[in-house]
Amino acid sequence: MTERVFLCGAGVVSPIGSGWDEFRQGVLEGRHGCARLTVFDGTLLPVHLAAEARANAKVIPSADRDDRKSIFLAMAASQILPTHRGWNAVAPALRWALLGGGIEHFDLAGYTSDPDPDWRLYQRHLRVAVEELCSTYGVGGMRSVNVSACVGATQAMGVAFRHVRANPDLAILAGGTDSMLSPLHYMGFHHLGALSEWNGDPALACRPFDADRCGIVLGEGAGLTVVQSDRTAHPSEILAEIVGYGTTLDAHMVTDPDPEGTQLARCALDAIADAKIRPEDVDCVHLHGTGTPKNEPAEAAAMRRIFGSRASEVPVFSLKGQVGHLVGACGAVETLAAALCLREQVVLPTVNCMRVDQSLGLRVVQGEPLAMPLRHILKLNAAFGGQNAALVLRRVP
Amino acid sequence: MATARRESWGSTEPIALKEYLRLKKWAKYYDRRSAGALVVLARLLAGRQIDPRTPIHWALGDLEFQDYGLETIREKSRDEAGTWSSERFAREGMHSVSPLTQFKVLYNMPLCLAAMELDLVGENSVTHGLDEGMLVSAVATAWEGDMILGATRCRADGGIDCVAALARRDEIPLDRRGDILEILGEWT
Repeated sequence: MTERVFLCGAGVVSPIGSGWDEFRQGVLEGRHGCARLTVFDGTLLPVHLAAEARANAKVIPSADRDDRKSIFLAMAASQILPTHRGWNAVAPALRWALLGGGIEHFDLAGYTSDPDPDWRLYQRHLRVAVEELCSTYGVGGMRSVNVSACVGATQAMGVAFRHVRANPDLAILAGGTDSMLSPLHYMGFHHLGALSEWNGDPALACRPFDADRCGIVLGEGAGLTVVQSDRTAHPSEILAEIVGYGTTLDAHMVTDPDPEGTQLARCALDAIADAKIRPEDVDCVHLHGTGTPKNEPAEAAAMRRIFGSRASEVPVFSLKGQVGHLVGACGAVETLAAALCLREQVVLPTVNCMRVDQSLGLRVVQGEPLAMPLRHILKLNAAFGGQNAALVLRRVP
Repeated sequence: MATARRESWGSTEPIALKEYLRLKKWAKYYDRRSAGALVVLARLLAGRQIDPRTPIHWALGDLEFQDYGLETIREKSRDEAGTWSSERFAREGMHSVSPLTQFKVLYNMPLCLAAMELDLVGENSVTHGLDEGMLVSAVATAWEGDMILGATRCRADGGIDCVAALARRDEIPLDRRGDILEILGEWT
């Protein structure tokens, strides 16, 4: 008999709150996480918007030298693992850690102020933080850091799902952490022309699916869960069942997603087939929804390939209007939000989508959460460079 | 049966990237990591019929030698006392390097660029770290045939080591520990 696989417990650090309770409340009340950049002095930059990670409504502080994503990883792990009944009941050799993350933090201020710098000394590797985590929490099995950009965490969770399905005795810490809110990385995204240059209220700067969308707002944070089978999971910790995973490559252009959404759709259909369901069994879709001019049309095209004439009827949403783009962590935090939708039986509204781009032909939920029976949610993410990843989650009554 | 190809380039040795590019102008997106990955992979796959859905998993080590303009940014972001100036960074430093630099620092570029050249659309992952961790993603595949596994190391002297392999899931030694270039290289 095939064992069922679950997402069990959550550790979250996000721009709308940290810890499951604060995050849950922030998601459901439509809290805004985008604001003026404060974690470094960006007042003179051409763009200075950010969705900075907060705890108890305050931006989490750090110094220039600190790798914020490593701080968030440790915070999220401390929320979930010390008291996790399912995790702590599994022998260390059967505990794995599969995590997504971004490129190295670089302390540009420290490097610049050093009269004779060795640039390597100013780089911070996430792998080091992951090794510390594994040592602290007794991870005796495999570990890896997936750096597939914006699908890194989604792929890590999908791979964890497959391994637990194949070996139900495993407990795998899965998710991701990232922060690009440092001068060097912020500069890089500005160079790519990806950042929102919204001139109005910063809270409204990221506008997925909106006719006036104008780019991403860099966010930061971490999302962790433990992927376990019903052999080892503790019932009280189950958030949702994970039933399907797919990943593909566009092989289209280095700068743009495939506007036809061909491989994004195939990735979703692979995940749906993996779940042994049909597209008509999917109740809503949590899209990548970056708020850029090119992402949403590609996703809309993929929706048509996945759902055919039903593409304009399936409710869709994006969390990025609230939390910005968490890059290597976005798949983790967004998947936890999707699990929340299944538990609460609501489809979330896309915050800041005030005037839906009608050319997309999508049913974007706006305003208030849409209450409806939800059994399956499809979660999609897509990365700069053309990597795609999809998960299918199922409600656990 | 698993097979692999290994290539190394010295610190100043040219990498024959353009021989394997359909559009030569795309060379601007490549650094030596990405160039090495494409060349070793193209040479491994030469003469073979590869299903476009063939999975590809790649591991990368730390950036050891290329500073991507850091020294220039530093010079243009210092105040008169020689310390960091966010004002000067905003005015000069951040504009002192090419936007193309961003394509060279993202870890997923070697895999994505190779996929574009070789029309690969299958399962995929990019792992940071030259240990056995990358095998975790590969061995989880549902694909029954050969898949592509690769790894790139940048040496501190500017040299590049690359391995690309074709192997089935049941040939992947998930119980092995150590340098992924050595693990994959055993199939050469």
